[in-house]
Amino acid sequence: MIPKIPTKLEYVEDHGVSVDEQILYLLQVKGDFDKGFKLLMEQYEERLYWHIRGMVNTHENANDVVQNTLVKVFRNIAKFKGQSKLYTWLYRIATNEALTFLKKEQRRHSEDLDGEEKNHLNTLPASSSVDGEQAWEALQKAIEQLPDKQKTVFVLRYFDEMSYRDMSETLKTSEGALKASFHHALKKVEKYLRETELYC
Amino acid sequence: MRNMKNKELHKELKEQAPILSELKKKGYKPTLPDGYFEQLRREVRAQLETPAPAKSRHVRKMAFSPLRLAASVSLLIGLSFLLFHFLRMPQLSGTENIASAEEIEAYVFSHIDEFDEDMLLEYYVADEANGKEAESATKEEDPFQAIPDQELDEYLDDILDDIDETTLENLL
Repeated sequence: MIPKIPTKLEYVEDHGVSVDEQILYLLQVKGDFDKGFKLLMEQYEERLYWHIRGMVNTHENANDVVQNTLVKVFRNIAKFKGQSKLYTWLYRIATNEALTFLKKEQRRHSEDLDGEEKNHLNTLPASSSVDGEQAWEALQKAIEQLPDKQKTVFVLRYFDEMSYRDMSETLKTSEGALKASFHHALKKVEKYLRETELYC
Repeated sequence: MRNMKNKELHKELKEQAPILSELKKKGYKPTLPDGYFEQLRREVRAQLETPAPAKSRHVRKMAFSPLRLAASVSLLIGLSFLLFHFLRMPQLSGTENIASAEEIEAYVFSHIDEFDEDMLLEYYVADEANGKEAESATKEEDPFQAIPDQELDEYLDDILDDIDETTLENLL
């Protein structure tokens, strides 16, 4: 009796191949969009949402950007050649979408940002015990002040806990430069939080 | 926010940013609307079912910023200055059409008898000495020679990010 040759998906399931490989197999080889869509969303929707949320601050903005990101991902995944990890490719698209959004916003509100946002900071309560929401808001205000490159590096490292190696693949920047950017960003955010008297 | 699994990050935060380290440990995350991710899936699928908009070739509009304006004015002044001085330079007869090194060389060779020998010798010695001096100065004084171009660019980008537009304009 001829033994049944397992399909790649069965092989993948039996041999514990990574979820990323399963996603790519479903979407690129098997053409099972429903399963591939579900698996990718289960694996990445929250992570991408919080990454984008860290960069664009509000839920409304994050919702717009994450939708654009995911639509772009599914429309282009057939062209993904596996030269980088799926994970870093997804983060690169999300980061680019968030930066494009921020640039549009900056252009739209270039006049207002300077005055209003800085003044708002000084109105944060000078209290020794702040609740989580206030802390989050203060942190977001601090992140908003960073230049785009430092903001991206800060969010990838602080919120997403991405390694410098993966960050280097995502942003096509050397690890040394990323460490320097994160160090600068940390100093700025920490100073900003200290100035708002947000002691934890 | 996930628990801080990354020990390296934990160490970085503890050493460099104690407030951020504390915030990270508390792990606060704002609440999202109920069923948000289910809604997100539905919306993404709906968008994917509509055909992608055709890519239109659009001309990128020139955005005018004070920085660009300042750079353009500086360039214009610089060019005007050079043109002004070039026009005021005394012209040697027969040299108006000299445009390239080959033409200069040809001119010198055809008029070699008209040059003072001592002056030519003096010029040659001075030129050779200057060349050697310049070569050694380049070797000794260029601290960036050992740094790869890409790293230098990234470092300069970083510095540029930190400078606000006003400071940059003042530097111009």
